[in-house]
Amino acid sequence: MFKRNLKIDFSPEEELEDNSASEVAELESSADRLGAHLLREWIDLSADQRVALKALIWEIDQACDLIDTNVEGVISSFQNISSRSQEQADQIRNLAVLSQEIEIDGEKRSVADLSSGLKDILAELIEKIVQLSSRGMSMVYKLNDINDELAHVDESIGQIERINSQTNLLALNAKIEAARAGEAGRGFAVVANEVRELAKTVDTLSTSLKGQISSISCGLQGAYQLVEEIATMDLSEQNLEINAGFSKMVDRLTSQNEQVADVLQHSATATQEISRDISMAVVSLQFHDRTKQIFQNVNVALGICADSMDALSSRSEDAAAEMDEETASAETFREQIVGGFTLNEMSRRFEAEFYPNAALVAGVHAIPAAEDDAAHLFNEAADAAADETDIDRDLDEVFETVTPPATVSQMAAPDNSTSDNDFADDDEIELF
Amino acid sequence: MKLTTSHIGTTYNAVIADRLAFSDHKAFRELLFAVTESGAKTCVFDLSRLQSIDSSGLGMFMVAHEEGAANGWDLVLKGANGHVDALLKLGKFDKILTLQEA
Repeated sequence: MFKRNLKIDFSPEEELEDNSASEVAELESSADRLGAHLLREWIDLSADQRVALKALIWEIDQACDLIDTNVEGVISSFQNISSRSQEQADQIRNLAVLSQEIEIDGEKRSVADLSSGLKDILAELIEKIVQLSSRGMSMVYKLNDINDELAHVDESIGQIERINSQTNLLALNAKIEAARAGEAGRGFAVVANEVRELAKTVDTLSTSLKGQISSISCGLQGAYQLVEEIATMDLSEQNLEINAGFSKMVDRLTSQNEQVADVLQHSATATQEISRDISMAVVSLQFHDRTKQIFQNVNVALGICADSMDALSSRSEDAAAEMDEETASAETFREQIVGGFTLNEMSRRFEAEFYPNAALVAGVHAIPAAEDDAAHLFNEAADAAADETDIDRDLDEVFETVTPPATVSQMAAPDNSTSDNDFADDDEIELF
Repeated sequence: MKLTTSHIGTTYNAVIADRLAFSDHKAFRELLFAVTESGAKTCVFDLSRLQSIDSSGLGMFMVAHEEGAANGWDLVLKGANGHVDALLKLGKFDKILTLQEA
């Protein structure tokens, strides 16, 4: 409307050339109207700008709180992870030490020591086996010797028996000769009888000796078999081989144990590194303190801007009251602010700020709207704002604006989601 | 036990082949007497063709060593391999007599 006036008032030069008094008065009143119009428009705009500034300050405070709450949560989580992984590293290290040691009677011995000890014991055992076996073989040879000696004794007894039998025969002959000699040989016959008796006794003795030798021989045979069993049963080739295999097993066990300890050590080191990385990440997260301070400073500056605007605005208001001129509202500014947000919830809060009546009808308090109600309340606010949109259209036509701003209903398409992900939503991107 | 013997100079050679076990003790003792009788200063048991031995066989080697010490000759065990070699080493024969490679 005022643009049109501008053109009409300033373009026709031929009218200015006509210097009549009435035309001058008309021009002066026209200039006053233009000034009043501009002032009114500025006041409206500055009111909106103040609202927008305050809302921005509130939003920045919100953002600061959000960062504070969330970053602190993340930091404490990271610190927990760090201390847990530290514990884990300690435990793994303990495990690595444990896998290398065995406690025997309260004395700690390494597995490597144990296996070499076992090998020593095994070698000693085999040495003892060989020793025992060699003693066994010596015993076998001694038994053989005794057996041979017994055979000689047996032979000697045989000779004694032969001699005894001849003695017996001789005694018999002597008795016959004594009988032939008659009375003179009677004494000799008694001697011959005695000799025969002696020969009988020797015979009995040698028979009993033979029996004893034979039982000794039997005993030796039993001992011989026992020694053979000792030498060949318990100390057999197979047993020795199993022992040799056992030694290999212990070697393998030791080397495997070393590998396990190695792996555990590596794992402990890796966990330690993870813990260190997490600690560094926690340090990096301290950025939020700085960010918060920057935001607080920005807010102070914005507050000053808003206050100075307030002061200037109240002075301008006085001046405008004198001129008493109606002007068009600065809908374009509101729409640009609201339409400029990519975060739905912010668009909604700013709309409530700019159109408090619509929000009050719906029961919304401009900024601190409860999150649950936000979507619902927004719809109400949007409906209410739709009426004003029609007026906006009229204004647009009047001002012949080159780029028509998005209408309120277009800007804030109804969306039930109130999360920050709104921006990522394809529909939202198309709309903005 | 399969036994082949030869006597060259002061060395008595005995090739002990196949298997040495308790049942061979008589033949083995005769071998020891033969070595002593030969008057040799060194007796070499060639074990390269000996496939297996039991503890009594190992015991017989010990007896042979003692017999030699008592009668003035030294015992050498030569060319043992595989199972026999492993057992000789486990029994630490290398500490009391000479073990020779083939």
